[in-house]
Amino acid sequence: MPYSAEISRANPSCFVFLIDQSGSMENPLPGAQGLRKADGVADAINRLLQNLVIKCARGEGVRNFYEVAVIGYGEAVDHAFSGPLSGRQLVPLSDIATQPARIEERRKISGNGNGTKTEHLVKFPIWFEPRAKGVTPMGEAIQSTVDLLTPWIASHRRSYPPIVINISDGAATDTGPVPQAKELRNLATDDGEVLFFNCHISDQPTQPVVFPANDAELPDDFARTLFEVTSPLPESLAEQARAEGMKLAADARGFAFNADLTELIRFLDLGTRSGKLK
Amino acid sequence: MEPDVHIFGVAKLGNDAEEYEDATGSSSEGRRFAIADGATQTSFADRWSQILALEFIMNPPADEPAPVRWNNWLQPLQEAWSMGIPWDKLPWFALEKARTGACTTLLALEFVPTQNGNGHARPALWRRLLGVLPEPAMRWRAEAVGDTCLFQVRGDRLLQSFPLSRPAEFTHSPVLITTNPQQNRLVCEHLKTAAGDCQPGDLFLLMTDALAKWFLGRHVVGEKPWQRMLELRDESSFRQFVVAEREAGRIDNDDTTMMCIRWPHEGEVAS
Repeated sequence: MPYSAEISRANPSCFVFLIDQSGSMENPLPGAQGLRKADGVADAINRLLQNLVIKCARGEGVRNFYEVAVIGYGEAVDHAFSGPLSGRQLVPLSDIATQPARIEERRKISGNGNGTKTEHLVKFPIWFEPRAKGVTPMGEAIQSTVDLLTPWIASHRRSYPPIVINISDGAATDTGPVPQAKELRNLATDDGEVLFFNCHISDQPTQPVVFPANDAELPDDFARTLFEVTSPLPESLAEQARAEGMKLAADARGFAFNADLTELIRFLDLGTRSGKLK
Repeated sequence: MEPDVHIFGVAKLGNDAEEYEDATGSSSEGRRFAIADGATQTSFADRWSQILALEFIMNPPADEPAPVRWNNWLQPLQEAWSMGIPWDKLPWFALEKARTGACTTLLALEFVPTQNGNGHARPALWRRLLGVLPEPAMRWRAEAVGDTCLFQVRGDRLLQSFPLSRPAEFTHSPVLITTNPQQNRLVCEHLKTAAGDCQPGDLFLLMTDALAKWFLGRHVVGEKPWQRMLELRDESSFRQFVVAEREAGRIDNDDTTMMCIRWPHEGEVAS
């Protein structure tokens, strides 16, 4: 059965995040209280990396169940970790844990169960900085991912396949994404093809379309194109989404359109809950 | 009368021996046994499973009503777990993880002599002369949270399967005992109990989930998996068996522990 490989240190999996850093990412992100889209996406990615590290922490260390790459595309297409990991491509989780660019302290408000709320400081590591400049070379970014994952796949045949999550706010300005995405999804380990999920973030507070099974509700050709190149959700991920009350058709795809900040975070959380960690 | 006890364990493939998160405890007089399976997705679960398994042997819960009994027993152990964590030396991620607590299953088994005294059954000759049914030498009682299982076998027949009895009952998210005292009420709600009598020759097999699921899977297709277990007389043969079954895809890759408790037949001396 595909997408059932155990994720272990001997057979790790990997995530690649493709982040649109074009000039339009300067615009406000709905639901994010004055944050630019670039800021909201950076926060979501940093929070996701933090959660991933904590999830894989055991005792005093972190188990390398995953390798992670972050590729930004805008003024240039490049690996986008900042700080000590700057310029590095696929980075094992233990290095991510120990080498953030910096650790901020942020205020967090939480309920204490009796109706009152308390504010306290929490650590917030930063690995990825917001950026918004240039056009949208999405095709080139996907091609970079193909080049990055081809040797990784060859040396990890038994692994749960890589998950590539593309976050963008607009149409590609190069030949992408169709031919490059097709090449990407042709890559496969023995456990299944590379999973390519897409999240379009919105300028407007409009109703998001999340995990659709067809393109009937999508408003334009760009959305339909992005839907077309997106992988179906493996059954294990679809089951988890259903367990959280989402209504998903049998052939739902890992796709979100017009996502606000809440949907972006939920999309990332679900998309990265792959496999059984051993 | 004392049982013949063997305890075997094999770590999850890909893990080091020191990452083993199952724990066992057995009292020297062969009356109390415990087996606990620390949840691999939590941190410092090995310490938590060890604390519970050993404490059940050394200082079992007092004889009180269930919720009070478990809360009173668990709270000091939860404090002991927390005291053992080097909180001020942990990096940010380990600190965050440890704050969420550790989890474990627990299966606790206790043998209690019956009223005829010291655990010896009335001799068979007397029973035949008196024309009465065999009187149990012992009673047993067990408590369980989670999917660690007990199987009682008598006369080549499975008599009890506790707390699970079908392979489909094993899920990825059983209720567990956590290091968070606020969860103790939940533990009491999900605590399962069982009891029965124990005759000379009875076999009790205690297993963590991967092996228990295998055991029930073989039993539902008409096999007698305890016979295979009885052939495993040392650590090496147990390891070979688990590795072979894992490679064949019949046992999940997980820490795998078995405690085999066999009460001698009348006239037999435990080895």
